Amino acid sequence: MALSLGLIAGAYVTEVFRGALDSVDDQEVQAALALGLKRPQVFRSVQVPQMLRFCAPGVLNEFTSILKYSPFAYTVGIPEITKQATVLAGETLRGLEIYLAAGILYFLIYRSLLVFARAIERRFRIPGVTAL
Amino acid sequence: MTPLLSIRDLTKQFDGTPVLEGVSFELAPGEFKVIMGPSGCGKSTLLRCINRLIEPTSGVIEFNGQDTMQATTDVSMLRQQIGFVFQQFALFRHLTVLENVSLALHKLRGFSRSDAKSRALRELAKFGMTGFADKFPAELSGGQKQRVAIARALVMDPQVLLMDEPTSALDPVKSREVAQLLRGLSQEGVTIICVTHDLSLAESLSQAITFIHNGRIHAVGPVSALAQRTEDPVIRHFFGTGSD
Repeated sequence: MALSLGLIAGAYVTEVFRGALDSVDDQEVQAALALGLKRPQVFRSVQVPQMLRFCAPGVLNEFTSILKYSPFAYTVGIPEITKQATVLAGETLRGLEIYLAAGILYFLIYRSLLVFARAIERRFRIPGVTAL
Repeated sequence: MTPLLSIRDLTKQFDGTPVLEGVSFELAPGEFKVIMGPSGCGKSTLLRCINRLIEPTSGVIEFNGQDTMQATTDVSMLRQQIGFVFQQFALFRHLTVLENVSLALHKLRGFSRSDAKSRALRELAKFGMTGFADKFPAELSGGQKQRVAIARALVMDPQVLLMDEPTSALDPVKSREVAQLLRGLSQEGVTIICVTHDLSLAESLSQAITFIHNGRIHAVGPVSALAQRTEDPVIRHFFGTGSD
C-alpha cells in the first residue's frame, strides 16, 4: 500500500517539481550566467530557492491527497483510521459516535496540515510573486 | 590604442538561418558605442555573442587582446569582466535589492556576506537606491529596477558594460532618467555598448551609431547624417524620412 501511494504521489510531485523549475524565469538564469556564475551556482542560488517556493503548495496538496487516499487501505486489510472505526463500530454498536470521532480526527489532521502549509507559504513569500 | 574589444567576421546562425553575418567592429576603452536597428536585426544576439551567452557560429572575438572563442577560455571570468544589463532587468525575484547586487561578489569574488553587502550598498548609493535595499524587485518601479540592474552589473567592476535596450521597458520619464544615468557613466569613462531602437536615446548618448540591418552592419555615423541618407531605402524606412 505504501509503495502504491508512494509511486502515485511520486509521479505527481515530480510533475510539480518540473513545473516549478520551469516557472523560474529564464531571463534570471541568463542574468546569473551573465554575472559569471557557473551552472551549479545558478541552480543553487537562483533556481532552487524559487522552485521550492513555487512547488510548496503543490507538494503539500499532494500530501493531503495521500491522507485522503489512505482510507482505501482498509479495503486491502490494512488497519488505518477508517478500518479501526469500522471495527469499533461493529463491536460497540455505537457507529454514530465512532464515525463522528473519526471524522473529527481527519478534520484535525487536514486542518493542521493546512495551517502548516499557510505558515510555510507566509514564511517564504516573495512580494509580488508568490500568491497569498 | 589597443582596442578593448575586437570583433571580426562574427556570424551566428540558428538552424541554418543567418542572424548575424560578417559583423566586425572595435571598441576602444572609454568608448560609448550605440548599436541601432529594427527589431529582429540581430542586435541582442550580437551582445549575447560577446559574452558567450550565445555561442557564435564563426568569427573572432578578442577581449583585451585574448581570443575569447578558445575552448580554454574561462567563460565565467570573461563574463565577470563584461557586465550585462537586460532589457527586462532580469532581477532575481526571490532576493532583495541588496542581495541582488551582492550575490556575485559573495559567490565569485570571495567576499563574506557582510562585506559583499557593504560593497553593494556603496554601489546602490551611486544610483540613489540605498533606501530600497530591503525591497524585493516586485516592489520597485521600472526605473528603479533598471538602476538596480545597472548597479548589479557595475558592482563587479567590469571593463565593458553591455546594455540591451535599457529604456524599452520604461515610460518616457523613466527613459530620460536612465539616459541621463548612462551619460553620467560615459562621462566617468565606463566603456559601454548600448543596443537600442530609440532614436532620441541614441542621439543623446553617442556621436556615431552603428546601424545593423538583417544581421549586417549597414551604416556607421551620426544619427543626423544617417537620417539624411534618403536614397538608402533601409535607412529611409527605419528613420521614417523621405517617401517610399
